[in-house]
Amino acid sequence: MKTQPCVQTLVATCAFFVISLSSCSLLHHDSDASHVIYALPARQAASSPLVQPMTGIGKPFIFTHDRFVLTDQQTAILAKSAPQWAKDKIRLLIIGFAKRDLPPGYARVLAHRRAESVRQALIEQGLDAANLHSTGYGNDIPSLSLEDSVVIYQMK
Amino acid sequence: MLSKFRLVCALVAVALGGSQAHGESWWSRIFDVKPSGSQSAQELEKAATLAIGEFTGATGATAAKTIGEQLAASDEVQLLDKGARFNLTGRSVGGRITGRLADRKGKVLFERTYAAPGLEDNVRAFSDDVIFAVTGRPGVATSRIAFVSDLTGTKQVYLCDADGSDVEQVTHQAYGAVSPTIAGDGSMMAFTGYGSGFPDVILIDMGAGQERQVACTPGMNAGAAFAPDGRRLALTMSFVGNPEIFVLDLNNGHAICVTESIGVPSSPAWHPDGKRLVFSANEGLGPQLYTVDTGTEQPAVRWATGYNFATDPEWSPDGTEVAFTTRVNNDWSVVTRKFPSGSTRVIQKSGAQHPTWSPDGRHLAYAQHGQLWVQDLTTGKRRSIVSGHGNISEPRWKK
Repeated sequence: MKTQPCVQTLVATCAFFVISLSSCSLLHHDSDASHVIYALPARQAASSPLVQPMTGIGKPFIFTHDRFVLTDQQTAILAKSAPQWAKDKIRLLIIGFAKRDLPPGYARVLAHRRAESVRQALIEQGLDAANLHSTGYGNDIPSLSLEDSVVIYQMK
Repeated sequence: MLSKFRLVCALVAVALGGSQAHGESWWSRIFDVKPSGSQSAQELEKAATLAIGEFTGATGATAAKTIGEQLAASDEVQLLDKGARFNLTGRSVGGRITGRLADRKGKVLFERTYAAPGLEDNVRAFSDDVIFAVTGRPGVATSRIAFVSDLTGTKQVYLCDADGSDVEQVTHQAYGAVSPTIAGDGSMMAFTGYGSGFPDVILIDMGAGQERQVACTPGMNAGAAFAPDGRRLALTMSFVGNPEIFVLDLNNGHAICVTESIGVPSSPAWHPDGKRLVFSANEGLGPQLYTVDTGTEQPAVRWATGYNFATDPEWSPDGTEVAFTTRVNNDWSVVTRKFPSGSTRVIQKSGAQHPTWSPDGRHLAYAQHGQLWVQDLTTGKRRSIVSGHGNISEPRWKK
């Protein structure tokens, strides 16, 4: 019984170091406020098709209605390309888009969530998470791409 | 030419003189003032009735006329010829106004001088003070509405007065700016800007015009909403992986995560108590509304609205209702629903989106077919206050 607090302290200390090393920069856990407090990490340098011309790799992934989960077919397509991308260690920017008539606030997050689904699938296929950036443009940039799609760009 | 002018003056004088001869003041004709005899003494005792008395000074007559128009348009007070509970008098020189509100016994409730550069600004401020003093609810004449328009080819944030006048472009972000929110005191605005090529949340000091990035984390940063204290923002960020709702402290830049979503949490809005949030989240079955207490670790709770699609929620200023966007018969609609339970009311169908409450809780502004509309929830009357100004979306009324 006496050793239990020490074990807890050790576990908490280890957890603190592990989380501190991650990009989320966990500061501390305030037991009174009960919430984990984050210092916001800054985005690393990344190119964007808004700032410089970029071409999408392959065909856009299309999502219907409010869906944000990849179909088996889409997962299979990613699985085919992923080994080469992992081998080449290329940096990818994955951007989601949503239907033009959706409420814009919802469209932005839905688009990002779709892009994140593609990013997670690529991580599962062995790509380094540090080389995969995702974001969502919702329906804010109608000139850039198709509706309801996710486009993968190669970053230089 | 001069003779025509004299004729018009004479006709106006006769018309006004005629009114006076029948015991009515000139403004009672102009503003459709109801005679006090149409209401019982008890009703008049309770009603927010007001008489506009003498305004002296070179611009006194103009000031009195404009104040009457402003108050009449507000529908918050009833202008009476005589027997009103309150009496308004003052003085105006060069557009400045010194206004005085007194009760029928002559007790002065407030006397204030308004010295903004223009008469109209002074009238609006005076009118809002009068409405607040008489009804206890804030007036909306000095409030402003932020909205997004693609007028310049990219989406940018604009501001306008509550009646749609004085539209001004606030942002000039490369690649666009969306999702504005204004602090309660009007000193700051936050929006989502694409200047870096990615969605970041940016803060503008409305006085100095200076901008600073407050959230430019990996992934997305969007949908900020000012807390009532003006020191915190609720927003969606995704640096932890999936998008989540965070509360960001603007003083120290630290954030707490208040959701644990596997889906699409978006559009947080604060309860007037500054503790609770309502937001939309699609956890696989379409966007639904959830509430969460930001002061505890209790998980977010789904709030059943009766609709299978609900986004853009906003709590009414008194916290008793939530307005949101939904789909009725496959058509975008704005509805309000009593919180936590009660009736739902369809405010506007046919493509209406993104409702936002006026500070007095009496009106809703929303976007519909690219125009900005304001609807009186008491009378149901509505009007387009900004049109022909590109495609308008995401209005947000300063609270």
